[in-house]
Amino acid sequence: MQDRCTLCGRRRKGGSKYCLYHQRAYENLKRAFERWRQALDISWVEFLKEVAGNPETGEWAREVAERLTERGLL
Amino acid sequence: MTGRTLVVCEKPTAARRIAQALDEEGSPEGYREQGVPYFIARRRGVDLIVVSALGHLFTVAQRGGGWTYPVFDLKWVPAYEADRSAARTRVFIKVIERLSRGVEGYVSACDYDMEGSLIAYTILHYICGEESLRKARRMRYSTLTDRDLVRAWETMPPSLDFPLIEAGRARHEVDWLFGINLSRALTLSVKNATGYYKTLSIGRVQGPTLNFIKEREVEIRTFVPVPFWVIEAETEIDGKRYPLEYKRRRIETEREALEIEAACRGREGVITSIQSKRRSQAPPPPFSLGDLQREAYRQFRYSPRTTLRAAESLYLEALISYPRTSSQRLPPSINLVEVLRGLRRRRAYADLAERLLSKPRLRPRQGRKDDPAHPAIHPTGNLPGKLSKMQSRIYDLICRRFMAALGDPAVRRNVDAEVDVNGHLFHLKGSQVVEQGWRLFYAPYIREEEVVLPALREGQVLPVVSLDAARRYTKPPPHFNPSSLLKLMEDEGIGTKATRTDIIDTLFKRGYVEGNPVRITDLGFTIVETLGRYCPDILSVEMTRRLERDLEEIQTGETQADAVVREAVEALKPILAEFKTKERLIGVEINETLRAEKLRANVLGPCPVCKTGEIRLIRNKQTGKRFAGCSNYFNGSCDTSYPLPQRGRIQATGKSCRECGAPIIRVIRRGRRPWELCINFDCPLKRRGEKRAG
Repeated sequence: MQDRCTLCGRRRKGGSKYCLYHQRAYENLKRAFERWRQALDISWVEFLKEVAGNPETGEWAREVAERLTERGLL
Repeated sequence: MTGRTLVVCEKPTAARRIAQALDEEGSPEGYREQGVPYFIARRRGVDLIVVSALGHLFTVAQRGGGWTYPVFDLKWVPAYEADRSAARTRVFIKVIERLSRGVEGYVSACDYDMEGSLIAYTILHYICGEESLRKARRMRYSTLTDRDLVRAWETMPPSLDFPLIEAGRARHEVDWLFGINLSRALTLSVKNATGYYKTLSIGRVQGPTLNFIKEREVEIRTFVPVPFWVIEAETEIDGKRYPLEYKRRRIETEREALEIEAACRGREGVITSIQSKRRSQAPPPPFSLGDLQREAYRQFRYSPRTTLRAAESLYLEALISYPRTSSQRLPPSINLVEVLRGLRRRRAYADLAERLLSKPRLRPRQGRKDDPAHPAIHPTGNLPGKLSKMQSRIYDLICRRFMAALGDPAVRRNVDAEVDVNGHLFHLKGSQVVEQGWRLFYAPYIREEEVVLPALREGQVLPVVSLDAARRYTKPPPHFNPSSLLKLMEDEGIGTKATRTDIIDTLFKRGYVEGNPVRITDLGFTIVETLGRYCPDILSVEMTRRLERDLEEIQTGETQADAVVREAVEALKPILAEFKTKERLIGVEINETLRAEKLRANVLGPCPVCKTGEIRLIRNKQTGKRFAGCSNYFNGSCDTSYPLPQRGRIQATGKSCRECGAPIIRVIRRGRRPWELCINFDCPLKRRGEKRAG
């Protein structure tokens, strides 16, 4: 299933390892990190942990954050 | 008008009211033939046969056979021929056909809107014949009061409202073309690809609406919160605490927030300036249907469907004007004084109505939206009899809003004191209503809080009794609720005031969305996603909006109905051709979700014995009977099973029995109240005769 998203099994988007939605969540994470960094002077790893535990974080964004943390793809 | 005249109404209740109003004695003769009520009223020597329809007696259907697509050849047929659930329309058609024999005049007295005009037109056209259309006249009224109905009778235009009828006809045909073709395409895609049959539907307005819900869901699920800080501070004056608002609502960085906190904590503030302003608040305009539905949701959490139903029943009781209106305006033709005199007879409104009646001039607040057919929703002034709780609430809302629209502006006094705390600016704000104006009439539905400040002076020193830099996070957009979804459809210009509520209901019925707040289901998600990938035009709000515009232009005579229907066919052709080429792919993708949903629907709960399996609903292939068994049976590790009721629909509740741990199910049988039970036949609770297992 090489053409499937590693998180949900949907079709992958272009060269990404994620589907359209998880890719969008990943991009949102990257964009948000810039603002978190300015706000808190936080590292990418800490940021992912914070986001994964935040109740306002969307389900797909949390899945991406948890996967990145688990796999050490930091 | 001589001889006998056939008066066609939309519903039996309306027929009775119209007959009563038009009969010179006020007591028409009532008859019932095969369960179909009709009335004979006498007016100026003419017998008026007042008959009722049952909503639409005729509908659009496919010309020729075959359950396939594309289908562009349509015809109008009696509703019972196209829809088994409309079987009762057959006797209505038969009775109207008999009563119309020998009639010399015809009057369309259905609700004055597109649907009403079309209902009467199809009855006259298909039952009474072409000739009747030339003779027919149209009653135009906005309330079912005697006064309004008699006036409508006396001022009838000499012909039917053909532009409105044509617009209605085109809307039905366009919606049918989209609905039948797209729904068949979807259903057949799954059936042809997998052999599995499941009715799937999508329509011209359903598609874009579902897409909006899906887009919102994606936004929520991909949302990443961002931190910001707020400075929360309080001062104390005469033993009472008041909030101090920092000059900036949000501080973007922690460092800055902590600096402000450090600079201000433990300090005193000094009032540097005080501004006091009087602000006038205009009364709210009277309700359009959308406004009423939103307000009823806000106040009572009534769904748009519930509100519409209650409003329609009030209209049929001649207590309010026609509710399916977009207007927020009360034209001069409405006798406001008479309505208020009527309201004055009700104890709850006596003082309020009297206040308005004592004003030298009544000038209602007019909203921006108008409707050429009907004014804003307003009470008629008739005294209500016994109303249900729901009717009472909606009636009260309408009456109070009507009176509020006639009230004077309210006046608030807003005080803003600037407080300097060690070089940082805070605001101490107060707000107080000084002239009630229209608020007096709408008081039960106003939820603003007042902050009354004590007397302040410049240079006054205020203690800062608490101060914190609190971390907050941005929030995702909210899920839609039935009311906000309706508003979105209105703002986007898709659907009409008459159809939007039905469209939202259809999305629920098809299982595409669920709950409140409205959440898209996996099936709904797959439908939108698949269509978006292969046939994005079906979800295009632009195409729907353009068609809505064209349909409106038929009413004003700028466009012909046939041209709009042709345009719809031309728009559909490439979409359906494209769909056909990808039918198999679409079918396979949708089927994956359908199978997963079916599997999920069969899971009743966790197995209380092995703790690792799921108790599933299983059907015995030989006997067809159903029972519940553990999923681990298939690997030989658990043989737990339970008998199940053989009739009715079974739903999982997500609950387990507090005594034995077996799943609790809900059994739904037609005509009975759903009941919940523990599926364990030998549950100790049942032996003890205790009912509540959950």
